[in-house]
Amino acid sequence: MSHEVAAPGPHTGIDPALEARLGALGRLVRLSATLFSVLALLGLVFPVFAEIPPGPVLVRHLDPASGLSLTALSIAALLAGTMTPMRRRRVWRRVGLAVSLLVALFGVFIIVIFLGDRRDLWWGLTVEIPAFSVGIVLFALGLAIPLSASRVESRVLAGQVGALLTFSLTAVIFLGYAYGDPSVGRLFLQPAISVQASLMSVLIAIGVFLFRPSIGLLSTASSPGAGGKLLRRFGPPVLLVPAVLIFVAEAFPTSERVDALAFIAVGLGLVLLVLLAVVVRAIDQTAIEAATSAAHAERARIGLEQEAPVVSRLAEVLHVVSVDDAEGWDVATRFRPGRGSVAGDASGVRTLPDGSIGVVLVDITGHGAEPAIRAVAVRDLLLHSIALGLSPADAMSRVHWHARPDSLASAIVMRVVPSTGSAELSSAGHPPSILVTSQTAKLVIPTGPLLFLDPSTEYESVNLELGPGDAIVLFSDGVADVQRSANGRTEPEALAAMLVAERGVATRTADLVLGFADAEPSDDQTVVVLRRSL
Amino acid sequence: MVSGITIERSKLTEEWIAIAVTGEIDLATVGDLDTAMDQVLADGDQSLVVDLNGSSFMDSTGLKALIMADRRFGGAGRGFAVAVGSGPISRLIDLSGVRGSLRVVDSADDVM
Repeated sequence: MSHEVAAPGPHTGIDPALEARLGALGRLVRLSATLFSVLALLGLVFPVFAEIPPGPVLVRHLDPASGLSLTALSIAALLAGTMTPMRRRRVWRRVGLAVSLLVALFGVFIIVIFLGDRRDLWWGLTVEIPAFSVGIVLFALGLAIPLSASRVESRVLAGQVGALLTFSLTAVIFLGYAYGDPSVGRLFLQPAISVQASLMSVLIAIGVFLFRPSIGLLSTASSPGAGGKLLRRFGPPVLLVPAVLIFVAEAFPTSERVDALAFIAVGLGLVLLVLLAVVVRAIDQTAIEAATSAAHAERARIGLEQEAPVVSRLAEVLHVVSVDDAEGWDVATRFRPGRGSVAGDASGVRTLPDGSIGVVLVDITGHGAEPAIRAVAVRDLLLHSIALGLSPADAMSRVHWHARPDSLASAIVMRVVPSTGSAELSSAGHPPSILVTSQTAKLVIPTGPLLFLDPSTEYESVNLELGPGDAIVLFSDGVADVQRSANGRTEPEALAAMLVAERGVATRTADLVLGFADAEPSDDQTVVVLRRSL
Repeated sequence: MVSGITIERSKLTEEWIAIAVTGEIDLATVGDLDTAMDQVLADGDQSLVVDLNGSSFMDSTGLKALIMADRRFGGAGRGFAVAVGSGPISRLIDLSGVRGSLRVVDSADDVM
């Protein structure tokens, strides 16, 4: 049984295919705005459009100042955006950002001289000064371009809100012209922004809004979270607030200062839009975090559900004994897992095809199911090798092909001939074993380095003789570690001293050894005792 | 989580950096040692000696971390050594047969 748990990404996440399509649309719109701007600029230089009668037409007279500014703005939007041919040339992006900032400054200049009634400062007195609304458009979009092109989410958000607001205002003006009533677009004071200026602004606003769709307002709007729902429900009405209020103000003038009312409408719309954007993003981020936490918890729970039977089953196969027909010998193994789960210890005691007894103890570095599986594999390879007739030392030397670059293991391989008691033991960096005889308990020191350390290692064996009553005790470092001391000796030495004159059956000896070890280990504890009966 | 080891980094020469470890190196603390060693690997082109003379115990995960670090430094053409005098960790290094694979010196100054 498998489960899939979907968690939201770091952002609400827009479908990559949709994001690509939106980005392409943004590029197309910005390119259109630029072409249209150049066309309008040409109209300034070559007065071909001057012949066209005034009215709701696409191209009519545009005063030079606003024409130049909007053209620069369009080109800036194009350069600062993500035009594929320009992506490799960062300098164009920087040029675009710089130009857009200059345009924004120019917008401020226009607003200031208009409010201060100092039109004489710009273009002399012979040409109509650009409208106040053009100043606002230049300022808003000139700032929105560098913000939206940023990689910082909050800046992208602010830039897109600015672009949307400009879109809202200029769309109203454009519609006013389209319906043959330019006065609808008469923001604040005369003169109004012209039709091609409003169309350009709308195009630039859309193009800028489609910068970075994956981390801007669109990503939140497409979110299944609470913020996404809120934005989808209230975003369009809020966006229309300035437009609706301007229409109302124009249609039902309640005072001579109708422009003041329009100003309030626009300001209110801006505040509402910014508030909505900030609030929905905050709500959505919270929803994302909650959903992500829940998904992580669910994954962990499923992981536990899936791994628990595996771990439980692993524990059953980590230590195997199959020596039923070895008369005169008894075997005991003990295993105590470290840290409440399986780790890298595995052991096996089996009667081999030639009648001898094979004993293998492996300790792979690491904890968890993965090293446990590796330990079982290495143990079985070693057992199989000696079953095929290899000596313990050769089995060690040949198992290296099974190495993985990130794995190390200590191991003991032993073959015992039951009829004679002669044993051959090879140890790869494993803690000493203890040979318990009638008089002594001696440490059997490792004969070679850790497995998988050096592929050229040729291991050696030591020969032991187990007389009647003698036992060989193998254990992992979780039981007794050469670095730790007990009673003034290293732990293996202290353990050996404890086992002198131990004559009990294998199970009793194994219990004694396990009793010596820490009852709450941080590492796996494995004990294997093989005793020749009296 | 409070770490059970402390790691101090010092510059021995233009070529050698030393990190001195105190405390017990085991599964819970080996990550800190790994991070410190990788930091040296990432920082420049110097060789590293890990001074374990202030450390009282190291389990097999610590031993593995040292061997893997030795391979990473060796792969980068840089020196790697472990400083451990006589003591518990020295016994582990002897019994595990690692002394032939790692450059083991008595004290960090011996690498020069």
